[in-house]
Amino acid sequence: MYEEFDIIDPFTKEHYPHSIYHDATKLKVMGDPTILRVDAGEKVTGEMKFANDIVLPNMVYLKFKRCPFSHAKVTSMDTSKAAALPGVVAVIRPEDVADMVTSPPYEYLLQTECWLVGNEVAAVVAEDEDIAEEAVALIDVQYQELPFVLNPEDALLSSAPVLHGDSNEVGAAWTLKRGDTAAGLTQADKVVEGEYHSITKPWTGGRDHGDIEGESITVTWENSRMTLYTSAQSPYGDVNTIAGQLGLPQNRVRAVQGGSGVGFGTKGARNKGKILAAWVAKKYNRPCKSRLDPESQINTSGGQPDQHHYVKVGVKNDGTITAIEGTGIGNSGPWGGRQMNDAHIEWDKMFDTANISLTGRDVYTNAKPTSAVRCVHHPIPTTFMGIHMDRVAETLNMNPADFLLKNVRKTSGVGGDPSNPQWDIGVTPMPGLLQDAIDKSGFKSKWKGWTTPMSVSGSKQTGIGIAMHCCRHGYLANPESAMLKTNGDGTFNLNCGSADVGQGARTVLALIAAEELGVTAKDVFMGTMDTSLSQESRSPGGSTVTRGSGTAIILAARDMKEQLFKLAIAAKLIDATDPTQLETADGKIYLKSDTSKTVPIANVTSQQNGVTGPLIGRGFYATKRINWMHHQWDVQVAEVEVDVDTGEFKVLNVFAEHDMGRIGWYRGAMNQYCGGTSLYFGINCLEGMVRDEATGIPLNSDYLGYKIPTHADIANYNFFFNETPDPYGPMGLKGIAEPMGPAVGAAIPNAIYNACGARLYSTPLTNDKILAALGKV
Amino acid sequence: MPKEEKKTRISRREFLKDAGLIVGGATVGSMALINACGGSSTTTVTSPGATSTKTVTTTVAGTGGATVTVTGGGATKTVTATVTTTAGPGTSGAAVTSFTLNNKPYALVNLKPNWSLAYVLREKMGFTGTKRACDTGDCGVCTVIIDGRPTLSCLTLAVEVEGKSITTIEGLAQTDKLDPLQQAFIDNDGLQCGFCTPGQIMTAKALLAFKSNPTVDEIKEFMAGNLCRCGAHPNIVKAVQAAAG
Repeated sequence: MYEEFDIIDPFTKEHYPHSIYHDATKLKVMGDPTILRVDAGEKVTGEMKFANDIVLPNMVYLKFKRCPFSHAKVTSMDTSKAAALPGVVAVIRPEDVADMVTSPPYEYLLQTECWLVGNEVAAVVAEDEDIAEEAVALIDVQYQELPFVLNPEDALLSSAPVLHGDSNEVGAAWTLKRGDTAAGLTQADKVVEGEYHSITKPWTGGRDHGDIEGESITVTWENSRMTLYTSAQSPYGDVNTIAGQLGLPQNRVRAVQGGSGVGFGTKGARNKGKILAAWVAKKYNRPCKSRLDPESQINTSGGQPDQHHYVKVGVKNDGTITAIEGTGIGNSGPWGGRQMNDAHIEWDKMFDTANISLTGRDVYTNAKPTSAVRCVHHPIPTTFMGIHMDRVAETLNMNPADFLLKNVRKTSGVGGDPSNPQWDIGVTPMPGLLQDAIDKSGFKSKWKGWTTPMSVSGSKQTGIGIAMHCCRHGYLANPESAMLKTNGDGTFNLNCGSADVGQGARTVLALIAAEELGVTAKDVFMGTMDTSLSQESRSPGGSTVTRGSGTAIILAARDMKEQLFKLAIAAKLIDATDPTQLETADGKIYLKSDTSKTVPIANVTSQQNGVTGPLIGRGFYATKRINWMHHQWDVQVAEVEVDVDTGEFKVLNVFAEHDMGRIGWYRGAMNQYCGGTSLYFGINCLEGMVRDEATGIPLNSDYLGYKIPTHADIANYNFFFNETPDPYGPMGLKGIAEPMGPAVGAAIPNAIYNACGARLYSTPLTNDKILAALGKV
Repeated sequence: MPKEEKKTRISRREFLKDAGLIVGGATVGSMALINACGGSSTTTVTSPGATSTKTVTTTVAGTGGATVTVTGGGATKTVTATVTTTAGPGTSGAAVTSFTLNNKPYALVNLKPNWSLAYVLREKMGFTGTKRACDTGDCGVCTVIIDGRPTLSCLTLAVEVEGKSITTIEGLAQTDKLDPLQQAFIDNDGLQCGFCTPGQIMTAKALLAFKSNPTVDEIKEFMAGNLCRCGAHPNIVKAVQAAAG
């Protein structure tokens, strides 16, 4: 039975030599740098509605009462004063929603045992936000404080309080072993060791998504149907989760989404406000709004996991790496999650070595929960290995660019990924991409030697650093579906469930459809999301939109073209007898054997009202598991100015080159490159939750204290694209969102070292760490 | 040993409530008093155009909701929303806040003293182009222009804008023609998700009024209070430069 539904990859190697998509000269809209964002007009006028913009008559507001302790049990709760406040509609206690478990077995909608600061213990529904907030303050909760632990290394000590079960370890340690690492280290001329931390005492760690909007939802229950106006990354995920939690059939729950204030991995239905707002809307038959404020978001929502890494690298004097050994410990927060599971596996993809041994341990703590933040968990190991390899190159007194060129993995095809030797990884752009980035940045001429700055002006010294990143997002597409519908005027509507959270899904997916249909970009329109009308998909997530939804859309377009061809033949609009004789280009159907014989597509679709009704093209795609994957590469070069008297630093210029496969929507790709680079600049250089050591209470849970990059912090960016079409990606495309940028997290500290000799072993890169490394404090 | 919850922060609303006592306390009394009194009222927002301003105020005794009516100049739109306890039986005298919004006069009656301008614009008047997120002045998404200055509407009380001229993102485009700055944001892709975009544009609009041809560093510094997590910063700067011509 399963065999019947085992989806065949439509772009396997047997297919692609015959595909038009690998002939760049035939592409009309892909990569066109003039194509603008389809929804920019709505966004610059303020017309686009985000979830929190929905204001409805009779609407009520939801607010949570949150635990102020890192670990505590609720011993009593008096909600009478809150319930008596005029304007309060309801006070919800844990026992009212005891059967709703958001993340079994430890996380409930409302907790009676709280595992972190900000854990939800009760909720208020009120006529306006002021009243809700006032009522929350009137709820009197008594707690018994319990021991807590924040640092995953501390949590592994025998003296540590155990959060769940017998041990704080989340499952068995993950390991990767290949070759003989001990022998490799023995054979080495030099072994460089190091330890690196993204959580440091006294208690800086935890990186937030920093999406300014905050997860928001407005829910209505009308005519026995629920509507979710939601800021979700996956509106279908919201529908399915909320329908499940409330026991509603999925056809009675729909998600509607206009704008969504960016999602890097945490905007999901696990958000308790969404589930409870839906519960309230149905129970009280009034629209209900919930919005996660920045303090609660930073304290309780999933963020980048804190990690500790211990690394050994053996090298020969000629620069050959003989072995890599690494142990990583990751912070899983109170709800678990395998963050260290293969976090540093990307080292194996980046560096060509026969001997590698990696171990990763995930640990429960009372700190910030974890989730993907513009990548699952690979960027931190990239930062630290990038610094470590700079040290290795220095040990050998090699130019760091030459060291990377010597050791970058250059293998393609089957066996190209040594961790998964049976898989075909397509064509690697290495080492050409790395060489190109080195050349375009002028690294070799700018780099003056180890700890020799590029320039010195008073106390300000400028240096340059380089690093690279590789990961493999986007290859394992979520199940995706798409539908194309004709209109009488020759235009098409595209329905696809991939949400546009700012990455430009609505633009790039319409381009893919237009390319396959042979029409202009403006002839295909993808509207905002309504899950009762669009096709189900689970993207965006894992950089799968262009690959997964894009493939489904190509299949839908092929289905559509076949119907158009049949209609054209039936209506005698073109002299052909079989659809296979026809193809489309430039808004026309033409006869392949005589390209002068054409009929405009609009002439065919204009037949639909009298003959066929609108044509519907359908496409569905799920990755066949699994015989292929793709790797994506990124190289970043940073130039940084350091004030050696104050430890302040400023990133002046970034030069970077990315492995695109094929450029789909040029402007979107370029804008995302800015986004990924800026996010990883922020996460590595500026950001980190600061906690009070005695209580674990976060001290900077707002956007002044938790400092994401501002305009003033952003460097001058110089970005370049490498186009090496991916044999398995639709039209040669790769997913790009996550791999763009993480390498800047190592390029910057390497540039700081080059500028002033301050070697940094932990993030964020603060002024005091630089001064300490210079021996000045 | 049971411990009582300790208050670690002063919320924005508590802060604003106290501020409201100073600004609006003389006319509408303290929130504590208002809440204790119960009852409801009608808040009326009227903007019949440039000629005459008519305000209607109704105080309804008893419990339940209150109605906020927004009447825009020329084309009348009425938005009814339920709020509670804006004024007690003892405060029937109408407290009117008059201002110009996007070149049209408005008069708002019986505003709560602790309502922020962002809240009133969005939830009572329907101008949701102005976004609201941090509520503490950290992020800049609520930026509007008041008398030429870029202003955080989440930290501005609605009762404070008496006699002032406010421009929101909805007021930039003129008769279906986008403001050159809006067009420059489209042309330079100066945005991604669009959530921070109205605030970015309003700050940039104010900047260009101060200085018609700012340098890149001046743009970056002036706009540093408008956060963007998508990372569209370079394109935003390009858009402002393009609009500056």
